Amino acid sequence: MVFNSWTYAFFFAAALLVYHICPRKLKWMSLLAASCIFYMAWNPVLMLLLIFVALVNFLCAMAENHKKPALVIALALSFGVLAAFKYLNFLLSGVLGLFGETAEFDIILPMGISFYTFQSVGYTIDVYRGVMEPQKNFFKFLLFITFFPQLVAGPIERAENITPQLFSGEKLSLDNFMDGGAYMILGYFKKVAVADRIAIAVNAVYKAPANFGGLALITAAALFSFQIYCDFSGYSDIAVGCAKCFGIDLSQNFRQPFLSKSLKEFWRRWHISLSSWFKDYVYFPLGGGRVSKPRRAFNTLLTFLLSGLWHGASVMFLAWGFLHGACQAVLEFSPKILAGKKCWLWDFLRVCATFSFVTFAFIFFRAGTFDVAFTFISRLFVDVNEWMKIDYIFKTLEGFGMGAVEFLTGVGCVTALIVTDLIGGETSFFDKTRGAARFLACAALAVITISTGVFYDAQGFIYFQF
Amino acid sequence: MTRKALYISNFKKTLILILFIAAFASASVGVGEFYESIAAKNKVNLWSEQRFSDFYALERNSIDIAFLGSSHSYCTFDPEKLEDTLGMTCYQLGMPGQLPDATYYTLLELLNYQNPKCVVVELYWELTDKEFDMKQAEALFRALKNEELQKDYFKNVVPPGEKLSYMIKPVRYQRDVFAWAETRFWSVAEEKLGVKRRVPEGVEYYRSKGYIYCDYVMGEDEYVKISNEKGLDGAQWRIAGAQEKYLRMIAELCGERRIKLAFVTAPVSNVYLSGVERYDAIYDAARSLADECGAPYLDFNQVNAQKNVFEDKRFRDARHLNDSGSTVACAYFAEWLKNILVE
Repeated sequence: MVFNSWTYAFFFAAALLVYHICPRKLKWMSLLAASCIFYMAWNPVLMLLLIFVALVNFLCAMAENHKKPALVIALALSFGVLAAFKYLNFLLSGVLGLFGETAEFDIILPMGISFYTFQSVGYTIDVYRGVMEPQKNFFKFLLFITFFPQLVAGPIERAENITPQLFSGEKLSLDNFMDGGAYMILGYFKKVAVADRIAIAVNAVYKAPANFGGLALITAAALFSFQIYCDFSGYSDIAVGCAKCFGIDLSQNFRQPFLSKSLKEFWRRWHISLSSWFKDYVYFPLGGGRVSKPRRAFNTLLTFLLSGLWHGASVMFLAWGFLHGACQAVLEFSPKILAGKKCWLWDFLRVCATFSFVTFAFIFFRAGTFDVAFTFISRLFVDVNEWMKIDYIFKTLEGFGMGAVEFLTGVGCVTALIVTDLIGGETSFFDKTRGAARFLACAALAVITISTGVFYDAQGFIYFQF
Repeated sequence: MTRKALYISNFKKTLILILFIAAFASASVGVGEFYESIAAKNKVNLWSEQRFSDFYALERNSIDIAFLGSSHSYCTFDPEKLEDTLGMTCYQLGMPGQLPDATYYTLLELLNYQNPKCVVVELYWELTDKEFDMKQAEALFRALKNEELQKDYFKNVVPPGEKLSYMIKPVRYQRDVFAWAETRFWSVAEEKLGVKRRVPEGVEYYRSKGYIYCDYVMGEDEYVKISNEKGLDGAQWRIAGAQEKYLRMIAELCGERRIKLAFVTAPVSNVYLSGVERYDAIYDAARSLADECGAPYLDFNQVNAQKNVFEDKRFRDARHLNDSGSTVACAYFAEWLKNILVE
């Protein structure tokens, strides 16, 4: 059951209705039932795995006398399950590859496994650290892990933020409904009208990069950055919106990341819940910023390698993580040129440089194999002297696997998002606009979505595979 | 907050909500009407309407052989060419992107007016692996003048989620609008910016009995397009469950009415076929389904692999024959069908 399906629309409406009917004290149970149904609609058997991971963390967090061994057991079992389902083939091919052998298990990747494992483990560590009290009711804990809007692709929530809201039994309100609805419309616009539209062009180019000139490759590389942003932040917006309808505030996962002036800032604005998870549970325990420069660089590199690996069992994700980690590690040693200088041109150049680097790294994320990635990169500046010629531009337009008008529609929507981000600055344009203006903007977005969105070859959410 | 303040606040919010719904609904209806008017001008839709309006004008029980299927059918099988060789009356009822589910309903309508001796169903692997396609549903609704069948199709074939999408006109007609805008875009680009684009030389029009005449010849630009599309692995390819069901229903219906049924796959260009890995697996799957349905099956791509009769000059684009290709195909097909009908 994906967010961009009618099945989900009916499911969500039913969940709201049941939640509304339930007495205040039982409202959280209706959310738990809805969450279980949501997950089991995909695969009922693998719900047991989710319950197992939740149970392990619940019991280990309860252990009062043997806190450390319990934490070790929780980490070992949770990451063991994750490794078995997500990384076994990867590890096996790596080990057997050394002996020139190959073997592969036919393993289903449980939906959202990386997200719910990290959320569970984060809770257990928080309890161990004394940041919060352990939850005494397993079913309440299960709801914290399975809450359906954020179960499959986050945001990865902290228990201290979300649990009080989950069990408060807040009544449905017009306020929450309107706020939530606005986020959902924005999310659907990003997913259906932007991400899925430009995905057609991106897929066409990445399928056979050797057949394209440099202009098409650079366009596709830049568009993939926007595709993945709109796909994932679209999902997050829908999740935030759905949760808001129940009166629950989820964390924001993105904050105009492509306006970042540095890589560090980018990671404060991109997939915030995962970045902060790695910061709190990996980077800081390794010593964080309070260690020597070389050690700090190593910590940064290691954290980003793990972050790359979190995305999938592939050397391409490792390469992507390595690029980000290595670049940040190198920047640790570089002199801070013009640090703190306020100048729009300098800021603009920094934004462009950050975006270019992020886009370059995404080539490895998207390419699937090094072969494709290197072909892509080696051809980035092919035909560069032709780029300004009108015939070349239009010929490039023809090659994106869809009509030029469809392509330009997608690009137009991306441009509109960039403009609204620029207007909004740190706060999203949507959050700034209130009242009638906001709802007219929502109506416009909804109409654009149904008029130009992709409904025939709708793509799944990219982050569902993680 | 006082009761009065709460009341005013809720009133304001309700008003905003109503404003939103009104703005959204009126804009959607406006866009939907606009899109519908554009879709009505789409020449492929107009051809389908023409094909069916000619069909409804035919004398009852006057067709011996009917052709059903997608654009591959109406670009390949020209009734006039076949009638000369076979000495039987033929009619082409193919529609753009027609899936077996729509083929089944077209057959039902055909049998309401005609009692053919033979029905030829064209199978194209890029369509038979789809569970449903709204675009062809729309083409069917435009063409069929039978509300009962339309309702049945809508009830039985259209998946629940798609039923809702279908009711939203901007969604329903979106692809027609993009196609229309594309033509306008390129003509403006040529006119205002002097953009040079390869325009196929020749003509394409609805000729008669459902056949679309075209004498374009595919250019080398098709090679580039196709090389970008490479990647279908025949070994992974499967006929969609829904379409298999309707193909079997077609076979049953033909069996009940004692109509000879034949399955056929129209040729695609060599360059297009080179983009398909393990085409033999696709052929085997279609062949085995045809065997199970008791229908003889002719795959022109297998014929072409042996005889190489469909060179590039026989195609209007990489996937569809032009008229000269249709002449070659019809000559071969007529001989093949003669043997089938004798059996």
